[in-house]
Amino acid sequence: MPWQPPNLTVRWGAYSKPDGEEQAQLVTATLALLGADHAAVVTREIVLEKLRGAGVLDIESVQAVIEALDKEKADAEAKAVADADRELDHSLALADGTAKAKVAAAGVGAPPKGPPK
Amino acid sequence: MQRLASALLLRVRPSRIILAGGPRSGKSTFAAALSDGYRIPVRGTDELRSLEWSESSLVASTWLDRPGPWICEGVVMPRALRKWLAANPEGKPADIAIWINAPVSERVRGQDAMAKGCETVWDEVFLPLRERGVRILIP
Repeated sequence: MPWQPPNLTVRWGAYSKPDGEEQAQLVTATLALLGADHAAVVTREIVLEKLRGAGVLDIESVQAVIEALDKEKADAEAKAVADADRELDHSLALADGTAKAKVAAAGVGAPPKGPPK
Repeated sequence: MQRLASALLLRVRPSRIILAGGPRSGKSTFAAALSDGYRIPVRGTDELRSLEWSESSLVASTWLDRPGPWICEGVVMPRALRKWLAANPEGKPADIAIWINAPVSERVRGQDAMAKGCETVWDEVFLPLRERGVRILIP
C-alpha cells in the first residue's frame, strides 16, 4: 500500500504581544546588533522596524525617526564645534590680554597677533 | 581644563604641545587626556626629578628637538623653553604652549616656591614664544 500523507491541520495559537521582559530582551539584542560605531551588522532602519513590529516603539514612520536622529546628531556636533571654538577663543584671548599687559608694562609696541588657528 | 582638552581634540590637529605651570595644577591629567585622545606620546618632567633644576631643564629642552606630534609637560618646561630659545635663535620649540598654574589641590610651601619660580621663568619666555609663532593658551 503506497504511503499516504497524514491528515494535518495547522492551528495557530492566539497572538500575544511580547511582555515587558521579552521586549527588554529584544531591545538588548537589536542594540547589540547595531553595535558601536563601525561595528554595526544591521542598519538603524532594520532595528527600528524590528522594535516597531514588536510594539516596543510606538512610531508611525521609521524614516521620520531616522531623519530626526540625524538632525539631533548634526545639531550636537555643531554645538560641540561651537563650544570648542568658544573655549579656544577664550584661552587665546586670555593669552592675548596677558601679552598686551606685558608689552604695556615693558613700554614697547603692540604684541604680534597670534598665528591663525 | 577638561573643556579645553576636549576643544583641542576636536578642533586642533595633533601637534607639538607643551603644558607648563606649577605643581598640583593638573598638567599631568591634562596631558594624559590629550595623549589618549590624540594617541601621541607624552613626556613629563617628573621623570627628571632625580636631576638638578639646571640639568633637568637641559634634558627637557632636548625633548623639544624631536619631531612631533608630542606632548611635554612639567614644572621644568619654562626653564627648558628658556634654554631652547637661547640655543636656537630662530624657529619655534612647539606649536602650542598651555599655561596651567592655578592649583587644583593644596600646595605645600616648597611647591608654592616652585610655582613662583616657574611663573617667573614663564614670564620671561612668554613674549619670545609668541614672537616665534607659538600659540599660547591660558585656560
